[in-house]
Amino acid sequence: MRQLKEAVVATVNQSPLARFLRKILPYRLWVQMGFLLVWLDPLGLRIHTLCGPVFHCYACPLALFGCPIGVIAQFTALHLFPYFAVGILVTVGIFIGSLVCGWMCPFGLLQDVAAKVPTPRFKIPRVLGYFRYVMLLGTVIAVPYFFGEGHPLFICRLCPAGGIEKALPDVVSAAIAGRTIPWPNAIKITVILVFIVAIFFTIRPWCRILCPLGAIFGFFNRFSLFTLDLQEHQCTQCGRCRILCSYGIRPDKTPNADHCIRCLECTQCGPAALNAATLLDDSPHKDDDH
Amino acid sequence: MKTLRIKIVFVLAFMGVGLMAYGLKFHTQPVFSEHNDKGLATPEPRLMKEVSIGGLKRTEDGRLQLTYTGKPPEACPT
Repeated sequence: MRQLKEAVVATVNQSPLARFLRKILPYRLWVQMGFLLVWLDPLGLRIHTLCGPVFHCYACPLALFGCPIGVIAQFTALHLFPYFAVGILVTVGIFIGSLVCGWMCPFGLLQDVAAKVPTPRFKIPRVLGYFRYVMLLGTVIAVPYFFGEGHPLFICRLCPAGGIEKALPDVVSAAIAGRTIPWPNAIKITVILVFIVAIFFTIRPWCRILCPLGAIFGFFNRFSLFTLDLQEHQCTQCGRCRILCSYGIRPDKTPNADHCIRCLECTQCGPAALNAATLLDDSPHKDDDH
Repeated sequence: MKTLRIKIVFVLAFMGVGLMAYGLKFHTQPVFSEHNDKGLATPEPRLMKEVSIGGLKRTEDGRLQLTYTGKPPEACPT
């Protein structure tokens, strides 16, 4: 009874942001679809003179902005510094971190939709999440810088987003029209097939193991203005947050872990100990650093 | 600690916006083409557009050159 009372008090004391996010949390998929509508460029503007903050291949005929990872890799291959692309990632990252991954990214949405299919799901060891940094430093920075964009390990040559959004539709449309089929190379075909199989048997495999953009936003989770606030005095160590988390994170220990995509499911834990907040919010534990 | 984090947020946000503004407004690179040996100062947004279609390469003498003449390619070859 005391715990219930404390949970009610905690809920009432939440910041407006926390209350708002708690309200729209059941509709996260719809929010993602709303953003998808924006990224799919319904007005045909094709503003590829800028890049967006999400993973969406600029080769796709339905892409409003350029892909920041593609731009960074291509600029690195040309030995140029991508000021705008780095600037937008730093700016978005420092404000909201990987909230982009959980709520805005179209490639994350694709995997979330596949996760609705009732198939057996295999757990991914959390340590594999560090491979995203290997991808970032290897295929986006080192390989382009030293070997150029022609190397088979150049990110765009491996990226399943390009495969699914451009190569696959090209193959299908050529086959339907009876034209010569523009087959992608063997590596790309393998990546596409592995990705398609993987999204039905584990949750967000690309985001959790390989996504270089997720690595950047995840890195900002520890510093970002938007934060997951753990009220330790509210936490009953019931472990429900760990059950709610599909990504193997322990929100009661590291609420702002770099592996987190900030889907905010853990904020639904019974005692309301985890809340979406900003660093500017007044908190009873304002000197805590989670 | 929280105050330090807020300071970090504002310093990095300032840096990020600064980088974006510099890229959009001031960063240019000379780009050469078959018809242009002098190099046209090309702003970063245009460079982003070109790399998104595989329209730029670095030549052996270190110059940035357009990979096409006339109609630009539809999409990046990768």
